[in-house]
Amino acid sequence: MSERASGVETFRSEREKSWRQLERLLGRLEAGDRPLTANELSELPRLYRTTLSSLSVARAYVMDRTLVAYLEALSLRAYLTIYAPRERLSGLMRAGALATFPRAVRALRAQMAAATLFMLVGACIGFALVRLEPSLFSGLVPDRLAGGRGPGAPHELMRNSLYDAPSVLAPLGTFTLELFAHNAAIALLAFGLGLAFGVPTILLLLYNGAILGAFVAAFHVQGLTVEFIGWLCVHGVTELLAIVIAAAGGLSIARGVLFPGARETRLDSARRQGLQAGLLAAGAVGMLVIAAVLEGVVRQVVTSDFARYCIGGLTAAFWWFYFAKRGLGGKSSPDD
Amino acid sequence: MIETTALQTGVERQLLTPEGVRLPVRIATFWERVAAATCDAVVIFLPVLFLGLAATVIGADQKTAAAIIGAVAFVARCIYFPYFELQWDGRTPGKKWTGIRVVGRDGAPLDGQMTLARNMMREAEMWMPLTYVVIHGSGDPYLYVAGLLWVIGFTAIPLLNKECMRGGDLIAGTWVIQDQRRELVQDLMSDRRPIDVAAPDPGPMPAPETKSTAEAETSIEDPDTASQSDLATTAEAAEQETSADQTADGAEPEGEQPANAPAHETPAAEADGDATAEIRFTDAQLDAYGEAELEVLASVLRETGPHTGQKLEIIARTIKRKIAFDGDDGDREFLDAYYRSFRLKLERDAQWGRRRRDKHDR
Repeated sequence: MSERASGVETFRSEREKSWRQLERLLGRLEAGDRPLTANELSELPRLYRTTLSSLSVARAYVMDRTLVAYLEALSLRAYLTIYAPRERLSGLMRAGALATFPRAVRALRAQMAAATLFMLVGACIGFALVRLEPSLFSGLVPDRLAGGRGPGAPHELMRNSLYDAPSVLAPLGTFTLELFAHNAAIALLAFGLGLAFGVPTILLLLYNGAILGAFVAAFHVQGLTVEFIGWLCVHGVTELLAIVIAAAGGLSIARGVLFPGARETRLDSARRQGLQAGLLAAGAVGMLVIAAVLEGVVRQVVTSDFARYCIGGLTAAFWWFYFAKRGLGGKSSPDD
Repeated sequence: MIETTALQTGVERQLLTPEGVRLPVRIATFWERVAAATCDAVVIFLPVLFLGLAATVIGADQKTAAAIIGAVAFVARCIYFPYFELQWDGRTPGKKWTGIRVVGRDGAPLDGQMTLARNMMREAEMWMPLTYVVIHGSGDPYLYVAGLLWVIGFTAIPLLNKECMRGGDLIAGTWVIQDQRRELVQDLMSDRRPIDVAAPDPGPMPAPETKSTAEAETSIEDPDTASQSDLATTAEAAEQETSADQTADGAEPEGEQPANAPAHETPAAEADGDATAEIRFTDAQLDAYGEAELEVLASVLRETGPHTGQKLEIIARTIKRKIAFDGDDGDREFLDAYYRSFRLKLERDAQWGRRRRDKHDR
């Protein structure tokens, strides 16, 4: 047979061994049965680069589609292993709590302000409506949430609802868990529906604000405003803040999708805003865990108005310091 | 709007590694993703359901049990997806079983923030509308329709883009791709390749053997064996003609004139005493096709199906006509020799920077 072009003839026989070795190491890593030695681990990137360069050569000079396809699949496998996520969920949560979450919140101050505004507008509307026409309360607040409370309910019931543990859900743990799941669902909804151009997020903020306003009005009618605010602020500071943060994430996604700007594509802009918003949503869920404990346990135990105001004030101060000071000095985002 | 190829086989996209090499990836299809999500849902909900049952057995009333199930399932799925996607390099158990995985779009390495973003979105996109339709929807028909529209709206997102990205992938900058494995197959240029020398009928492959000079010469010099086997399979060949024609078409569409190659020169094998009894081709004969045709030929030469004989015969006939080759070698020997010479030429051309994608590429 006439000789093959220089190099091509021995190309495969010279390199096949290292491809096979890479394949073996990857197989063992993926199966996870036998950990790789330090030596083998340091071999991995070298074998990966060898395979990548083999691929480039094969694409240019070897007329064998099966060989190129094999090298492509092997390179992809190795690439995904070598550039695999280094973080684990626990580490991610720690880093998030310590730095990335407060940093992301600071970066989205404008969206936070907008979300707060929408909620306040909703609260004012809810308050005004119920003050003007008390019968609207039952229309605004679902029965499940009202639980018999309302502007027309007996004064004793209203007062007791502020100081008695809910009797239906006896074990405090269950109550806490359910509160958390319910609130987290609302927060994630406010975040996720930002993708629908933010319209549902805004509606959700207005509606939840309206429910809040309606409650304030109902207790205001009964002359229990101070007591109600005390009851609310134990967990409300944390809970409402978490909802506002998640909604701010939703609004930022909406902004990324709707107004990508001239410098990036809509897809890139959605990704940039979305990655940050994802942190906000996850952080909000974490905050809601704290809120649920405050609501499900602390509020049931602490029944003095003064102590409740103190707890509310303390949580507010804590969150203020946390979001203002935490994670400074690290890598800061452009808006910071 | 909806690409059928995207639904069935998955679209091919390229991923740029940090080393600057482009690697093709195949995007997971919509149904693969549905299957994976269903598997994951079962994995999450079965234990939770048992927990709820256990709670009722202990004596919790139904409302409490439902509350526990709902809340624990929520917590479980909030942790499950990001946990596994980080721990198993973009795979959850459901994805692993379906053979798909999450990667960063365009080759960006997957990181924690991406998994958070795409999985936080999952709640609004998947679980909530589903539970809503299943549990709360039955009462109010208007609410039911609203919930259904919500489900349809979010399901439409992956169907409306070719990369099958759902909302979470859009905002996290991720793709879900198929996990591909490929075997390294024997090079057709290698002499160790098992050669089916003048197989009398398309039966089981003979044991791998080295192509010895003697055998090669007999098979070339003895056209009777070849024609006999042709005769024996003529009936079957006619039956298979239609299906095999498609393969041949890859190399030769209808109505193309034979290349204006000079007539086949005397096989130089015996003349210059070449030990391997190689069939020689002129440059013009090797110039009739391009890389695409080479690959078609290679794939047929690799085949070991029951109808390979007929396919080889049809392709050999087509090529012989096109390059005006009038030797009477067996189909496999002829195609094998043509493949080797042809590939050699293409590879040598490539070293001089000349590539020819297919026969239309000049």
